[in-house]
Amino acid sequence: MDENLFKNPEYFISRELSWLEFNQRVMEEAKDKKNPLLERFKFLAIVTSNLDEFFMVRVGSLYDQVQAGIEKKDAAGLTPKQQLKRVITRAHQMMDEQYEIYNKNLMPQLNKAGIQLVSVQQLQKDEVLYLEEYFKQEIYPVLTPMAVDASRPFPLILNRSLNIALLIEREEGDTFATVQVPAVLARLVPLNHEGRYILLEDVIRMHLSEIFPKQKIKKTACYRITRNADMAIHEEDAPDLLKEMEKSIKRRKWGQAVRLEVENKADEKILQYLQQELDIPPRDIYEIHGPLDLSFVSKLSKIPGYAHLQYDNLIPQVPQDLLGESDIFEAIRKDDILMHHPYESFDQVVNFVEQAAKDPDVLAIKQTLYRVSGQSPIIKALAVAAESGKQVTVLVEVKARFDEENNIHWARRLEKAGCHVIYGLVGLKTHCKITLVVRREEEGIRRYVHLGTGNYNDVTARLYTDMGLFTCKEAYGADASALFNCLSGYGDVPNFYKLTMAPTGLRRKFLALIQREKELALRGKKAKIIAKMNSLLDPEITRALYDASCAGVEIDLIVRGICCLIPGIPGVSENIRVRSIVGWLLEHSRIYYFYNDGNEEIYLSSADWMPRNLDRRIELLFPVEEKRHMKRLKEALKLLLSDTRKARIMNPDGSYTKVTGRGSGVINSQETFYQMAQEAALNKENLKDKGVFQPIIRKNEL
Amino acid sequence: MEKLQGKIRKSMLVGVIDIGSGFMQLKIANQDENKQIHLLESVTKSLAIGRETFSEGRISPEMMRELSQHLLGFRQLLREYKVRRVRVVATGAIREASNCEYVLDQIRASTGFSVEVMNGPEERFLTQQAIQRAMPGYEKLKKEGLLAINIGSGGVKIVAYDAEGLRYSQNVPMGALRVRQILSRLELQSSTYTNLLEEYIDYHVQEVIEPLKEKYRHLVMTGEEVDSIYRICSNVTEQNVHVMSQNELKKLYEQLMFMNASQISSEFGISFDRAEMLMPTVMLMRAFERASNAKKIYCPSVGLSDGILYEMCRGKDDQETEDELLRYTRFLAKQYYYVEKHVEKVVESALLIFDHLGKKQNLTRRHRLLLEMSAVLHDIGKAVNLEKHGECGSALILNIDLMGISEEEQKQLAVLIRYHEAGEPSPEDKEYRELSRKGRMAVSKLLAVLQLANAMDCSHKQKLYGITAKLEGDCFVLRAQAKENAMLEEWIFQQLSSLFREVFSLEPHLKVRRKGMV
Repeated sequence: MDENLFKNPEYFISRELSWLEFNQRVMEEAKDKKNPLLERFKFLAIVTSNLDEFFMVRVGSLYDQVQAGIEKKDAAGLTPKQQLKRVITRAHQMMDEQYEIYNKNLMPQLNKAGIQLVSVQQLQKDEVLYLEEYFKQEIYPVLTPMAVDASRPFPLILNRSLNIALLIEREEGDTFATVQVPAVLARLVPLNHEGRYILLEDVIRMHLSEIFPKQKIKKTACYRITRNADMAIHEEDAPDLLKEMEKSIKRRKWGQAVRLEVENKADEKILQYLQQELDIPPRDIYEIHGPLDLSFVSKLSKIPGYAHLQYDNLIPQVPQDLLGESDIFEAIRKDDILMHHPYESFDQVVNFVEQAAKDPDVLAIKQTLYRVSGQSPIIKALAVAAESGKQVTVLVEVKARFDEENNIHWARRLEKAGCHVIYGLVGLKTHCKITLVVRREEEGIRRYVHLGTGNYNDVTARLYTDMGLFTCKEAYGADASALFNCLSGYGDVPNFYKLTMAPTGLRRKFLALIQREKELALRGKKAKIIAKMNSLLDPEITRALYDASCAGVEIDLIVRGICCLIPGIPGVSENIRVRSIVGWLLEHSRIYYFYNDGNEEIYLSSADWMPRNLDRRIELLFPVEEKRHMKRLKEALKLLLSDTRKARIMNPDGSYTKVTGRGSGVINSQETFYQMAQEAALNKENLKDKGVFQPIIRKNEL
Repeated sequence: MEKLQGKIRKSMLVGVIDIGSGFMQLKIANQDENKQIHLLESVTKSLAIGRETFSEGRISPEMMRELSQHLLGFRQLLREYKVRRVRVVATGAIREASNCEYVLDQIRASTGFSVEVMNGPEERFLTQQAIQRAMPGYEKLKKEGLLAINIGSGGVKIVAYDAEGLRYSQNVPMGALRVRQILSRLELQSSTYTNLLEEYIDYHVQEVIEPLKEKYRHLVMTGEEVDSIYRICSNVTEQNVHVMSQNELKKLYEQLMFMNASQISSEFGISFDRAEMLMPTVMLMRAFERASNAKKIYCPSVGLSDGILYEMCRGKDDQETEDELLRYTRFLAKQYYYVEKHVEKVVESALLIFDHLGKKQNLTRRHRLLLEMSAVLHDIGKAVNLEKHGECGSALILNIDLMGISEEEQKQLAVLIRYHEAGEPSPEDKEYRELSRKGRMAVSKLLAVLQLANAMDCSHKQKLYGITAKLEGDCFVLRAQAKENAMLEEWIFQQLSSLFREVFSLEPHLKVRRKGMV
């Protein structure tokens, strides 16, 4: 492809703006009346936590760039300054809309449902007394009020903490004080009448005179700041990465404030004071029409007795390939196993590691870990394995954003247990998900491999849709060994049989696969690409897709989050369609399909089409080669492409339009996948009951 | 569980570490109960040890530490599989370093590995073994005329076969890394550099190529860089063996002409160090490709470490390779004007004596091979100097490439040939002194046999026939018939019997019966 082809900025959307559109889609789910009420609150909470992270990392980074005087334009032709301006405008708009949904759509419904979040004025007398006691017993001991005057400088305000600012009248002039709403206590304080709640900050406000006795409090206002948390570490100069990370985590807490949220109609003097002390320009101040930090609303779904306002609990099913199997190794020896989480249980993966840890014939276990849960059973199993004398190698990515602290903690624990722990590679995050078990068997050594699209995290595995493959085929085993040897520094980057690794070969591989479809199309053959991922923002891949589209390749993209590619531009991307599925579960699997003149190829991967995945991370792409598995993946893609409930089609202007289906034609892919998993498990169960010689009768014949 | 343990014992895990000039390699294999060998691990770690040896002549402490560091990584992998049988070998870069002994000692101290240093012929032999195993039709190709080239970092190893067997076996110190290292002192622009590189290679390869020209129909190439080149420019396989065409190689050559190492590195996704070696390798490949009659190049993607793995699994005694070695020995002897009838008579007698003594005397099949080789080669020194032919033959043998025998064995051969007529080796002999204790003992025994066998045809007239051997009490009796007077043989035999008596504690007797006399 010509180097300068399709470089026109009009063919790209800025990544940050595209991300905001994604958050917009999440917010739409909060508006969607077809979703259960408490789930809608959850979506609203996600919008808040998403925005927090966005400000800390992305907006933080834009500020850094602007400050450093960087004027390099992104693919869409915008300088960091221009991006920042648009992002802030869009964020203001989004947060306004978020509170509108909260106030107008959701709160009245919540009232109707019997849950009341009351204000101080709405409290009944006994409730006031009740709160008096609650304040004394629970809240007061953990409060740290801080006054600011000539001898006491403005205190450091913790990132993302909720605070109350006070204006106190003194003879020598008004002074300022601040008190943090303690994060250790629940935001939602239940009152002594069932179904009635009040916010923690309101309880504190009722009792401010007890905290600041004999002071005249003129005004109060809630505020919250978000700090720049973009971490820059010079790994090359860091002799001990672990220590360096710990230092950096501490620094993150005190980065420059990039957003100040203040309750609306806050006192002008307080506002001015905060603005001056935090050194924050007016455009970064967000007036909030409601309670600050809406992440607390997700707690509403924890209130017992309201199950009818939520989705039914998802019960992960035994994977269809493992039905009737008790020994995971034996099952893998019979045939490869493909799993679709969370419809199919992730427990099998945990089980795999646990069984390996206990098995006397297992010699070695090797695993990459990026994000794990707090009480990870996998970590426990690995420690057990090491303690019982097995060779355990764990590659822990200490640079996994916002999980650094957690990861450092249990990496130390694994080391103590005798595991061989590797802390990632200089300059590269290890993002691939792979486990290797080396086992001594009758016929000699056999290697079992698990490859996945999602993290080894048993908690998120219940909410994220991911794919996983178990195999003991020699080529995959050899590749897995070679990969770990390379990651441990024992060997050079190997030549793989089946796997493709980033950053060494993945970009080239994807480009070659796209190029091949293009060439087939030019020869008049049918050519088709279907790709599902979380984000698409790599300019080179995007341009290759435009090129393929022009050659006549049919391209269907299922991109949940950011998409910098623009579909449907005449003469550029007429053959490309982009859809995003945002729903109940977080779409997380990465599936890449290529028609290849009838010799179809399907790959799963840990990588998105993002520069960071292709250039700055260790990622893996692996083919799924068994016919029945390929069939299953093709059907899954087909179902995702026919979703008429949670799918949005991306428009040439970068906006998204929800697909509408009517009546029985409505397809909710996530619900359908779940039903399919349930039915598969049920069928197997029935077959077992009926005994061996029972003929199989099709359901509609009964 | 008990059943499983038993079965595992039947299968076997072996490991090999090859410390090469440009990189180190670890291979772990599993031989199952059906004697099938499965490769479990194959790890390559780039480390240009040769860069120091080939330019400074020695290995620096920094390099030594790095080397040990990587070996510890390999050791960890060997532990993971619980591999107990491990061989660690080193080639050119270590062998040629002036501080070789210190390096070996340091490796032993920091990793516990005892490193065997291999010589060129051993390397070549083992590589041939590996190719043989990897290519099903290799025997047939050899008979039809085949040139096998191994392009390493330190040197190019050349082996040629025709219908008669091995015809040529040489090592040219022109490896990809060595060439680059020699030329790196010249700071040149890339275009000039490419030309100079090619001229330099052509000049050095010329004399090697000349005797090989247009005689060989088949071409097999091995080496780590050869494999990278295959992966870059071809994806054809024939019966699981990679095949590269003349044209594909030419196209790559033309593409590389205009690229520097960093461009090559990013274009083909290989490390910078490896990228630097790509062009010299392609040039070397093309030089040999042009010299042969081959239309295509087989790249079986195996090397020294595979050969060692194979040897560890199957043992060294392989009839076919011995036969090949002996055929080649006779081919060599012929080039030095050997007297075939005399030689075969000496071989016959020597083997007769050996076969009657061997087992009881701790002598192995390998020793028998050495004995036969020494019997075939014992007079090659006569081509140089009749009077000092033992000495000359011994010097020749030390400098001839004998693929398939170890360095120790080569020294043993030299000792055998030096004293085949008379005398006894002493610690004054350099080669003898450098032998192991066992090796010294064996060579004395073999020499005792060779001397008597040679004595039995000292007139070069093949007078004796129908020779039999028998152990009679403390006496070792050889009985023979003679066509004519064999006084000379009997007398010389008697004179040379002292070494035999000493090493075997047996009194040798030669009893000759004249034909027609009672």
